[in-house]
Amino acid sequence: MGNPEEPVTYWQALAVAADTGQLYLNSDAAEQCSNACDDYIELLKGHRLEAYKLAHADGWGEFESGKDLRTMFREKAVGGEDNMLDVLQSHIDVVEQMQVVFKKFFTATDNVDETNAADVRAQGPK
Amino acid sequence: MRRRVATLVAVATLLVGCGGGVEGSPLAAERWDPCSITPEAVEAAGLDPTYRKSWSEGIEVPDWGLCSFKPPGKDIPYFLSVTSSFVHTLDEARRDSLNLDGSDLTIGDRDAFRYRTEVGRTGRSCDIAVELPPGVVVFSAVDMSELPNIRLCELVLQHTNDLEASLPKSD
Repeated sequence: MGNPEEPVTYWQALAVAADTGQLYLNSDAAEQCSNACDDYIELLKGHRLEAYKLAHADGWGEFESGKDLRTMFREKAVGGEDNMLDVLQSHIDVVEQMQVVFKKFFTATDNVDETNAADVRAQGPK
Repeated sequence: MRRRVATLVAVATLLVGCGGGVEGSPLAAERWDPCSITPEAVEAAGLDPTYRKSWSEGIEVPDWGLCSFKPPGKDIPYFLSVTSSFVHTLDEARRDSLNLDGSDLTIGDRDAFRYRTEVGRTGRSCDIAVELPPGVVVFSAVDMSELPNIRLCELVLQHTNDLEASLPKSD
């Protein structure tokens, strides 16, 4: 993959554009995008955990066969520069930066208002 | 052999699912399935009872059973993974030179060993390996948001103590 810093910088620039009013997204769309980011981050983190556990499944004792495969896997999955674990982390960093942008177009207070309104409706007048 | 193990694990899961208290059952001679930890026990340990995940489809790790849990909420600051083996041992964890800052401890009345591991630039965990009759179970707090090592080690100790009652008992 290319330089993982580039997409982060790109989304940081969009965050600035949102702050200065040059970029606009309606709040419903932004909220859906943000929710999609949550789901994707959960998925990526799950894969990252699995890569981490695989690295260690490997470290205990010796298997009789598959030594070459194991060496190759260790370098691709967890060792060296572009190892799976760090690459997944750089993907997560990008999606988190995307989410920062989406969150600028809707606020947590919207959710609080909705929750309060629902509570008031549920409890009703005594 | 692999198929046989898978079948036995499946049967064990089924029996644990139906039976409730199965302490000291003959199944203790086979690998304990970490996903046999009940949602109630997971919730009591302060984790999300609706989330659990084993190895993904297509990934086969004959030596280790896996079940991963996360704290409640959208953010995932860390995962708690529980891996079990009946071929590996607590002593292997003690002897592994890649395990950092090791210290002996007792979980319930079981012999245990706490250590840290690091992978690549960003991967860190604090683990507690606990002796099983037979084999070993490893609880790992695996970092997902740059938590300090000391926090990971607190979290794994807390969750391991909370979940110890779910481990198979020796006869």
